[in-house]
Amino acid sequence: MMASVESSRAGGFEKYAGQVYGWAYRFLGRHHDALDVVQDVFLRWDQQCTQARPLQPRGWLRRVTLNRAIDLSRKRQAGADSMTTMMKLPAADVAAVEPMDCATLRQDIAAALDRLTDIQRGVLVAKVYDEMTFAEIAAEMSLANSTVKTHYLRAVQAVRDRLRPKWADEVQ
Amino acid sequence: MNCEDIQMLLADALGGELPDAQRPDFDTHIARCSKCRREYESMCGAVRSLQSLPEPQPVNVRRVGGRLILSESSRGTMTSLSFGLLRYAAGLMIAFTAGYALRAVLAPPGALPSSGVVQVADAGLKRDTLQLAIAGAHLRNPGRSDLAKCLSAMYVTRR
Repeated sequence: MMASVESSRAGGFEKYAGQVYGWAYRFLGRHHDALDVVQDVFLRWDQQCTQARPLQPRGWLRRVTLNRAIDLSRKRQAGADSMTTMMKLPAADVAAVEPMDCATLRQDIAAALDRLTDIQRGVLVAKVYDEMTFAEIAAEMSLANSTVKTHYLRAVQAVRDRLRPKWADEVQ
Repeated sequence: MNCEDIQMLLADALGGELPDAQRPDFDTHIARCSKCRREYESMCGAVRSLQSLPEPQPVNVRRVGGRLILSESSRGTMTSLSFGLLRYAAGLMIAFTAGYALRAVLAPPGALPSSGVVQVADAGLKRDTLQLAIAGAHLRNPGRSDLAKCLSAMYVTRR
């Protein structure tokens, strides 16, 4: 009995595990960081399922994953900043895992998303990375179509405003 | 189509869902109105920036028993996730404590510490003997064992 309950919970997560990894990876850029987030989200999923399985599993997982990934990105950035200050190194030497432009852009996007509400963030990621239509997002989040579009616009504006000072060429 | 209409259609246009019927009017206004054009192009730039983040490597997900295995094919690394994580950890701790107790009682100091459990199992010792061994170890080092948990585990598993 216990095994079947556990299997059904694991089965529910299994379906979305690849997506959870993908969401985390987009904003962290490191395989092992993304796996840490998957592990953490997995445990939270298990905990949540002991009370009630989320009605919209993908929406729930996306929200929890983004919160966790952005939190981790923020902590990593704070750690890199303090190390840069301490060792008087340029930031590029601290996070030299991938090309500096990409790493910096990733951090800036994560910082922009950090300022959004959970719903705005969820809508943006669902639209841009999951390539869902506004109607699909509205159905998944139990929102009106027009509300989803408003959230999307505000999220894109927030990202643009955050990126524009540093990424003028990309964001005109 | 005026600037307000464009604002209403901006989300559709950015999201690639602008109806074909409205596309010509939208494009015409954007070409004529510099304010709307700047707004639209800057938003497109933000979306392009978001899309430019590299896609993750696809991961393989498979279930083995009650565990999920995520593997990234290019690196061959694996992460195993289990719902029984805490239960296994607790079981491991109890087994460790029991092993420690048996070692303390059955093996003389410095002799065969790692084979103690095997020897006991092979000898077919009864539950009472193991309980006595655990109790003895507990009395010697009360701060380093949890007698109640050990006896409870033994009682449940070996009954």
